[in-house]
Amino acid sequence: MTQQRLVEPSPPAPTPTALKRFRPPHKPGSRARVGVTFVSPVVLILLVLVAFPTVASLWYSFTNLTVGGTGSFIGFANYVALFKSPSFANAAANIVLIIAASLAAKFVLGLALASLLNRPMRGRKLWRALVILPWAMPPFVAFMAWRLMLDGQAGALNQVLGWFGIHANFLATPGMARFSVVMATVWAGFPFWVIGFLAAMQTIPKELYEAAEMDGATSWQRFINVTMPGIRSTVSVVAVLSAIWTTNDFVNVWLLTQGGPSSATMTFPVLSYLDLTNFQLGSASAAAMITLPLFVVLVLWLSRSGGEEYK
Amino acid sequence: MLNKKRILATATAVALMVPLAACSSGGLGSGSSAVPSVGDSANPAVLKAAKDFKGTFTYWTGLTFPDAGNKIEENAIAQWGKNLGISVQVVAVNQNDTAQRVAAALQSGSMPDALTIGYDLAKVMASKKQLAPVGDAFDSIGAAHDGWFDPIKKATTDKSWGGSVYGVPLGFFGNVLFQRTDLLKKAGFTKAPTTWKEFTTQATKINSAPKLYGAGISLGNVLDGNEQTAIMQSFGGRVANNAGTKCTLDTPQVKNYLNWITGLYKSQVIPPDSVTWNGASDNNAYLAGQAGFIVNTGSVYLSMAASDPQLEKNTAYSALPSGPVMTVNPVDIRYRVIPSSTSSDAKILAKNLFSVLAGDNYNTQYMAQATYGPVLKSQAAYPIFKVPAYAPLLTIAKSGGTPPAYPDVSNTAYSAYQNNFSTPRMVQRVVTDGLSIDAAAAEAEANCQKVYDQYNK
Repeated sequence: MTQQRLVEPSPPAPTPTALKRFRPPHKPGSRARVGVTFVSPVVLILLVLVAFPTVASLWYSFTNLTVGGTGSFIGFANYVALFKSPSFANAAANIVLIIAASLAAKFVLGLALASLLNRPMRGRKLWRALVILPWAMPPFVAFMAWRLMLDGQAGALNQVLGWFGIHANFLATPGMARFSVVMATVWAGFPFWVIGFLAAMQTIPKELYEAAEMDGATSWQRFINVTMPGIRSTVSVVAVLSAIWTTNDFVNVWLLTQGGPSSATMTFPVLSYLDLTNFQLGSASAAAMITLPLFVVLVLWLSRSGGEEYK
Repeated sequence: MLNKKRILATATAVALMVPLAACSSGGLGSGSSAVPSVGDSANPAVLKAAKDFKGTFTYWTGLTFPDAGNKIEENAIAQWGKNLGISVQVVAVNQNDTAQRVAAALQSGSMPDALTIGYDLAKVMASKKQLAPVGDAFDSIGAAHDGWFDPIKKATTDKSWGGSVYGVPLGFFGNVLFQRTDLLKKAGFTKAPTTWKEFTTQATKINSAPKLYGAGISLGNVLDGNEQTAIMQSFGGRVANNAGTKCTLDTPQVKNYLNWITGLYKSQVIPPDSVTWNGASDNNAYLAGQAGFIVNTGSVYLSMAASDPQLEKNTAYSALPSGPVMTVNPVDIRYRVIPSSTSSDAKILAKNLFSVLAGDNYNTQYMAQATYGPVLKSQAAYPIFKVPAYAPLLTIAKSGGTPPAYPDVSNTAYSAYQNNFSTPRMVQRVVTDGLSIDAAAAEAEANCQKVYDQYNK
């Protein structure tokens, strides 16, 4: 199968009249100053709202600071204590498990639904709107609803399973609790993947599909050789953003299991929250910052792969 | 069938709740006697503070159940502000999240002018000098209402607070044992259990899991789960020694308790997912007819009265059973406190608000809709404490209640132990992770010691 390379047409050369009309308003240095003036409020806001809390949290994590109190630098003591904590292994394992399982499920679900919604069908706009609903719902409402549905006694799922003589304790055992957290997390997050994939699919030129069809490619071959390369960069962006959000997600675990049973569904945001209950700002910050290197690696990888994509 | 019943019950509760809340609002509007006017009779210092006060007076209330109680409190505070001519903002905070909200506000310097918090958080904040003393308000309010009940007074003026009073009690969470008399009678039991041993016999006999669990006891990481500490203490277990410095969980008494509670769990008398129950799960289980016993503060009674009178008719209420060693029935006091960061004018106003909200007209209405036990002796005459579900709370307030932490030493480290849900977590290590009782007790003691060392430096 041959792949047609799209070459953008060159823009028309400016006419002398147009060149005469367009004159830079100021000298280059002065233009730069204007640019800086326009950009600086945003930079300032970003510094205050993003950089300061991040740097402050990082600093707190190396201190024994308590809320409203004073603290002193204690090096890596908070991190050492965190590593030694019985909940650390569970939190670390759960990050890998929840991210891997939920990303895989969201990818499959997102791709399948996006492919479906990309085809001409009746009521396509309505279906697209409906798919977004779980993502648009406030997380508190969504996960409380899941908590009620998964309840071992009065939950709706057990009512349904009861018709078949089955009873499941969705939140009672470590395995089922982890599964339940992943299931609810996937449900709340997959629409973002659908939207991302759908948008990317719509930018793939129809000519590529037509050319592939003329070359005798099957639907599956068209999907693998045209659609997938066309959405590859979107998959990377969506996956990295979703991984970061899932790692930082607190509401899903807290509302479903509070990190339990025991610490089977413990995550770093929940550990951080529990430390904050006792005003231990230093150790709470350490639990919150522990995943920062992972995010940095992911973002760097994304920037690099994104750069390669557009070279 | 059950679904239909529950849907109907919920719809009825909602339908009743709306007019109830509306009645409450109306009752506290202008001209109501529930919120006394502060016009002529007001203290000149309060009027001056109101005049000098700049900005909005912010109060964080602690959400209670049902919502009608919250509305009454919100309206009363708004009416108080209106009477004084000051702008007031009332923020309702879920009491399971108060500590985190306070921590964030302290750090960002955005604390309210006054707020409602629990005993443990008050203790932690007082130890860090984050609360202003309110001894004068405590004394004057007590004097105006026949005095404070003894367990309340003892807990609030205990020397562990450092010689000052930092909170004005507004009520307490006390535990009442709810029991299904229809099921118990069928099983041949006509008297409420007075010991945990009798409780075990009765709960096991009526157990028909998964349809109905005998004991709807929470083992989750929530406030309800912390009831386990009191039960452990009634078995003779202690969190720490008499000096409040060294943890003592690796003891035969604690292991005896662990044997008992894990035995109930493993035999499925306690629901399997009680280890992840949230604050409402035991209520829901009982209201859905799926728990024979629950330990609750009274909110379930209000729901039953509104939505399921038949269940209410089949329910009896009694004090918490005794353990093999003693009876422990802690009063978990809720305080109105003033952060030390509050301005001097706002402090005067806050104390005035506390005295207004201690008024008997207001509290007759409020306590009928909230889930608190009485703290002031004048409250003993309120009709709500003659209702069977609430009467045990009056008994607890009068004599049966034990001070918070008792028989342990009430200090900041103990509060931190409770804030970490350490006792239910110890139980979870056995029933969820399969740790032996010996290993779980030893691990819990080691973890507890880390907390105690941190606070006893």
